[in-house]
Amino acid sequence: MTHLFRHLWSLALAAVVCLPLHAAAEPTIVAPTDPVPIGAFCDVTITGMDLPQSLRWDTVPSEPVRVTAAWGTTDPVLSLPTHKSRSVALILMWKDSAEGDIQHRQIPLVIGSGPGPEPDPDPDPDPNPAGFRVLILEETADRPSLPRGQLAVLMSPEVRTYLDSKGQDSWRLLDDDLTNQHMTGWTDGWKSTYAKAKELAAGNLPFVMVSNSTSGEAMPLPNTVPEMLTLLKKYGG
Amino acid sequence: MSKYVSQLNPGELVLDDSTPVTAVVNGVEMGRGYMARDEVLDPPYSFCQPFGLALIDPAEYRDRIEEMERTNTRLSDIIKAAGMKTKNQQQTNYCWTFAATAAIQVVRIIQGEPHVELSPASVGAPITNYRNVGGWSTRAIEYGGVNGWVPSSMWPDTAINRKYDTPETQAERAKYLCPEWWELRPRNDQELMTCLLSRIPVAIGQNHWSHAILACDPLIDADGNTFHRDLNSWGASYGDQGYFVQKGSKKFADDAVAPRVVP
Repeated sequence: MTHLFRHLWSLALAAVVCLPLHAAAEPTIVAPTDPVPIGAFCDVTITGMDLPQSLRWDTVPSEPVRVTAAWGTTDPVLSLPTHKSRSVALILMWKDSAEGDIQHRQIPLVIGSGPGPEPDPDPDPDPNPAGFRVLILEETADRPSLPRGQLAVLMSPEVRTYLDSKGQDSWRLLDDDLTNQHMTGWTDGWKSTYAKAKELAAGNLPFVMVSNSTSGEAMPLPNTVPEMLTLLKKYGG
Repeated sequence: MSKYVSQLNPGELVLDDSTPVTAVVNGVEMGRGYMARDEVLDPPYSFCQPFGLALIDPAEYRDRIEEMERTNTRLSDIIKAAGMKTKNQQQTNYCWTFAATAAIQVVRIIQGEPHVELSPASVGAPITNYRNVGGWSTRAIEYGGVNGWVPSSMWPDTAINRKYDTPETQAERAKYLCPEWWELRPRNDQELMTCLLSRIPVAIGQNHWSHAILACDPLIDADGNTFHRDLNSWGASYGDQGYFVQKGSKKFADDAVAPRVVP
């Protein structure tokens, strides 16, 4: 037992000693903080990078970037030509070791008298942030025999304009014959909404399910456009 | 009883029995390419259900058409509101796959799907072994239904070129399928009218000008004769942004296919 404790203590000590050696050095990035005059080069210098050859970069909006230092011999310098006033986000990505994770940093730059830096682009924006979602289930083959009012609801420009105003991913009109193998590219949200609507409709079509982030309602499709709009606005505002 | 007559757009291009057919647009001869279906190679109803819609009584046509026109709920209204581009097949013989692709895009719009322009050549080229030859729209739906379409952003609309058949475009196809469709009987006006009154677009091939187009809006005249407004694939400068009307004996569809389910 004593031997085991001694062994564990040795391992812990070794870890403490080795930790600073394995931690990657944080590079220093020097970028202009004041607006860069139009016509001048906007130089960004990166020093102290363990693996400078792993550096990649991009700009938003897209700007040509010139590398003015040779890799491996000195610290990299990126230069952006400044032809017009604008805000630019310089995005740097690098690996701190051959097997390490990718690190990244976003550098806001202002060229000329351009507007302030734009907010960070959301890498994975939620297409339906408010949670408003409408699914209408139908049997396409039944359209000719639908009550005319319901067919009018399905095609109504007022209903479609309202739904489109809530975001392109906020609504669907789908046949009830779809299966999982047809749903390549669907979000998990739409897959679960479709499954739930089919369960609630139980073959009673056409059927509508409306929900927002807090509540919802499922019912046979209303017979008139005003009734449908009332239902939608109850949950979509 | 209503005597409503369909309202044509001012100056709308109408092809009727007295109209000589021309395929020249802005001085350029456009491609066509509809070929009568090879029923040995591709037997009717071999891949789909028989026409499954209950036929709408012709006595209802006038009232239904009046309602569609009054409420702006014709397919052409919905397509225009969605901003769908009128495609141009240029000098290719791919009208049949352009018509089928337009039908798929319209069904996606009806369903509220994000609007994506799909490439007719991404279906037509593999079917024809990358040759610029004609065909019929059912064949395009059969292939695309199982294999899918590629967005025009990845495969240009008229590109008959193997270089676009990549792992990336193959993966993208799976998002744009059409697992079910209906074939209409040739020259069957009631089946075509039932689809159009139900806002189901129909890709039709017509022997009278060896061309395939997309039938969109049902129309009716004072005598109760039905006809239709169609979308061509000769660019927006043909007719009214690509739309035109066919009536008389020119209205008949010798090949007709309607996508039913587009996930």
